Amino acid sequence: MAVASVAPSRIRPLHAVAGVSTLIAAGAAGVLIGPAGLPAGTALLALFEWIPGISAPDISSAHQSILFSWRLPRVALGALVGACLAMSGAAYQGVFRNPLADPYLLGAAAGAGLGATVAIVSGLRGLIAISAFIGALIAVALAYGLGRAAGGRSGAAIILAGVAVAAFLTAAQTYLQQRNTDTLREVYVWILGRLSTNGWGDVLTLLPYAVISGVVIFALRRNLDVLAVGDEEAGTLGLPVARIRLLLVVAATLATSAAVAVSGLIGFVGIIVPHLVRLVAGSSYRVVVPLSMVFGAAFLVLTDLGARTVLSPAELPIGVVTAFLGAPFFLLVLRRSRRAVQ
Amino acid sequence: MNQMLLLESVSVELGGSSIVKGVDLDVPAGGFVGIVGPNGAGKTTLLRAVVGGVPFGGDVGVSGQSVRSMSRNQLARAVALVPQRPVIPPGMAVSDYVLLGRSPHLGLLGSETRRDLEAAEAGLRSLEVEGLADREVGSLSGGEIQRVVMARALAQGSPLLLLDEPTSSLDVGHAQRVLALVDSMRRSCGLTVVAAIHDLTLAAQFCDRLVMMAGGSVVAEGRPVTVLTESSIRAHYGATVRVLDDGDGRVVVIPSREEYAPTELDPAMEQI
Repeated sequence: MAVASVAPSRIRPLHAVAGVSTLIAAGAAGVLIGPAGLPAGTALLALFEWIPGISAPDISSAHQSILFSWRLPRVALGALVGACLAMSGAAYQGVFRNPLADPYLLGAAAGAGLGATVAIVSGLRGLIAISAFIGALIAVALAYGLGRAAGGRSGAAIILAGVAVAAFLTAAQTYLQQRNTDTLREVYVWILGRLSTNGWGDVLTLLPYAVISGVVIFALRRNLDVLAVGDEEAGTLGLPVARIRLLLVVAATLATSAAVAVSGLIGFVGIIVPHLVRLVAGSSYRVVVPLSMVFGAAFLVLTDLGARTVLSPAELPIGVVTAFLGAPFFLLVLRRSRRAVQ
Repeated sequence: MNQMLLLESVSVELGGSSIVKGVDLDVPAGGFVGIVGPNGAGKTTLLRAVVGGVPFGGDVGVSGQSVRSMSRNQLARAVALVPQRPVIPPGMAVSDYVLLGRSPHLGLLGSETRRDLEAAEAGLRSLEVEGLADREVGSLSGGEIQRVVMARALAQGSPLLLLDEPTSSLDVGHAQRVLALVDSMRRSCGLTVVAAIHDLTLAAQFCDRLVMMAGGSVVAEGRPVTVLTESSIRAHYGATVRVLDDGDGRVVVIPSREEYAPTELDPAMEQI
């Protein structure tokens, strides 16, 4: 019997290996390289000291603390935030059939910005993350609810409602920020985005949201391909379009809001990483979703490494670095893939 | 013969306009019914109503069950639609596109089994496009896209196939082959086919019954030879044609040129 020539898109082994090795290399670089004067070899030995026979006799307790309480959690946080933003971007692009959709499409950034600003100007700095998280969720819920009320089941109405909600919340945030000039710099720094250095706290906060959202988006990735033929045709193929869209938007919004709450607004990852994956590995969401998670994680770990080493000991805002490194790289891949197609 | 599709007083309003007005239709299992009619007659909207694409009044029954009591998935397993203007997802491979047809059989979290892959492959082979499996759908010609879309509908494995202008982008050879294929699938697999067809001769050659719609209503129904008459075509299409009966109840419709005699010359034209 002839072998079936029809097969669904799957991740090619080359792409899987490239993704995992990039992530491992990025993680290793993130953990081993830094301005603290900790030799990479010593750090490497210290990391694997739990294996019998390996010891790192030269490492000081200060260096040990830098390694385990500072660099390692920061790399883990970068990987989680990057994975969350990239997979949410991919999910939004699929749900709304809009290549320019990003994780902030429905007002999550504006809502989080307002939430964080409220916490900062009120002097409740311990509540910045939770306030940003709630702000982002409320913004997206408003956009979704108003869009559904105005346009029925159409995705376009939800996007337009998102634009309006984002504009309104940004205006409120700007007003609040200008009325409280003493905290202007603090608000600005939060909005530019940064990965914190307060140990494992942020990682543990983000982890459950990242896992739950990641599982939902990964499990439903085939449905994103069905949505690509439009709501009406997807309906004739048996897809409960409104329910799937809501599930995916909730998952992507939870991941985005949790990521924004701990890292501020880091742009670019959610839009560039999925497109990079599409250019290299094809447009099926069966491939785009998992590879976006892996490459998004690697991308943010690498850009964070750049952010904290380029002007060491000063740090660049990570959002600046994501755009600075990502844009030329993306343009290069775009150019190459176009040439290959021609 | 068992009844496959039953429409009872189906009406559709879109944007405040009445597009389909109280259509009744009864299609037996294994039938090949063509819906003909001028542009804007409501043919496409009627087909969309059957698959739940637009809200409708009245009732639609498929295999004896009202579609209102069926889930989306049940309905998709009972009825497949080839839309007139399918959405072609950018960058999607033909394989992935045809496999979308298996979606109603997979559930939300499922993935394709060998049986699904074979159904998709059979669909592609039937339409003679199996060689295109690795190509991007968007890179194909209009005719190839039409056949790939049809392959997706066949892969869906539904007993009722709705075709909305299935031959509109095909040359006469491919148009004949596609309709002949649909006809042979109907006979061999027990498919029931309802097709909105613009080309009246093709409709008459392949369908065993025609329904002519105009202004949202059914204006004639029956064997092609009784529906496609010179007078009915003039009345509802405003067209002058010759209808030739080929002797076995099939007819050939030939548009004939009518001298254009404007009653009054447009003043703007006079100046040219």
